[in-house]
Amino acid sequence: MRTIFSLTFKSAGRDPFLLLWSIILPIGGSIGLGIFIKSPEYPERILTGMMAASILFYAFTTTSFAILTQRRRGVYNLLRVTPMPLWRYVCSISGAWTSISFLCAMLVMLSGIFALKLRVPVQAFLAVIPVLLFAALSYVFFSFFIASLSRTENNVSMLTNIITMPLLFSSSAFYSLDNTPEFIQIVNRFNPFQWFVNALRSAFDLAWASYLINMGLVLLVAIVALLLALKTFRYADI
Amino acid sequence: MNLMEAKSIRKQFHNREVVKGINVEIKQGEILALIGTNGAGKSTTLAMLLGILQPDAGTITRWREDFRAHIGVQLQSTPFFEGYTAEENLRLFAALYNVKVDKQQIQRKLEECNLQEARKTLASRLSGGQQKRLAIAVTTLHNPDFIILDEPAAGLDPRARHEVRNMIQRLAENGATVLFSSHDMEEVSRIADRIILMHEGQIVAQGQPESLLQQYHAENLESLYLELTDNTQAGR
Repeated sequence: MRTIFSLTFKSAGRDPFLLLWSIILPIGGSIGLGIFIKSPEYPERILTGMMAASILFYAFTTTSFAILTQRRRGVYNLLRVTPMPLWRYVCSISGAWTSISFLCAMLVMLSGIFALKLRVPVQAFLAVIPVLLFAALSYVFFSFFIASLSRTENNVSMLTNIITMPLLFSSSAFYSLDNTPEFIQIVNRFNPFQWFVNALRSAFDLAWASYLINMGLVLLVAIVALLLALKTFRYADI
Repeated sequence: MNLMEAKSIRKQFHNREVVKGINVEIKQGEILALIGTNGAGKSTTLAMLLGILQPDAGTITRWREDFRAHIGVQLQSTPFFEGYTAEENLRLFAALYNVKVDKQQIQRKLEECNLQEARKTLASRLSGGQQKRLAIAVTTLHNPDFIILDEPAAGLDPRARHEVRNMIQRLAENGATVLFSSHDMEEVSRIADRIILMHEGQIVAQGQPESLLQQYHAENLESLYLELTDNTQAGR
């Protein structure tokens, strides 16, 4: 398991999509917008939003493509003729992807705190860690589900865009939804990405009641995503 | 001693029977070639022998319960891990077979397969011949008793085909049993100890190449192949 974990980690370091979508874009976005928009609470809003986006882009979008590619190349079929049980392989690779996504989000957070001169208490820092880990894990599980629904890279691209765009734009990750139409605000209440963003912001604000509620919702999403992944898992296309 | 024995195995997909009650015996130490027309049921037969597919009817007996740890498999589409180098693929496959390998062992395997120059190259960027050799390297890294290669030399130039054939012969010389499927009759006649010829889900001939040629009064394997697959079609 350790070898699979470490090699997955190493190969992710060579992935240009990871570098762009989960590191450069969120860091640039949070620092750029945090400095440009002159509002006392905006730097924290954009930083937490970009941390969540970093997780979404890697743990969901990038891994959906990786899972589809592995299935189409026959990797899962081949696993059936090795002594390695599929669950161990999936756990190792999901663990590695979760850790990579977590590290990207931490990098975004540390860069933002440093560049935007935010004061983040140690408790907030510690409270953010489980939120990032569970959210990343739930998106990795969800990406197994999306890859199972897809036959081609085009399918994955379409499905991930159909899912990520509404999740991002009906959330308050990058802007306030106070002046948006009522239906957007209703959608927002049931948006799992918003629960993730809320959990991060509650951790930053040390608002423990809200933290626990949103953390619970993030965990619930992880469980649902795991069940979907297990129920729909496909070894091969035939 | 038989490593595997399949009795009356059948498989159908979407109401079309692709394997029609065949019997296959694989003897220890032999190089067995599974040949046949496209859609003859070769890959389905291999998948059933490997346990990837369950037969709809019939039984398969294997030489040991934990056979998965003692077989090496190269499927038709070589499933390398995307984004990993040749060396990393070897390490990853060793992990899948629960084998601990050190740097020297990896180096030795790469040299054996003439891949030392390509060790840091992404597997997806290797040439066709290099990819086939890497596939055989990952298949044999854990010194399996039984090696299954699905069209190991398909799509390769003559030199690369020659190298793959030599590798298969070396594996057999080292005591492994090899089962391979192929469309290349020259390859089969050069290296196979025994042949199973499949057509439309059935075995139409099996035996040693020489005795098959005598039995059917054929000049070479290619004419035997053409004759038997034509006869079967005409007889329907």
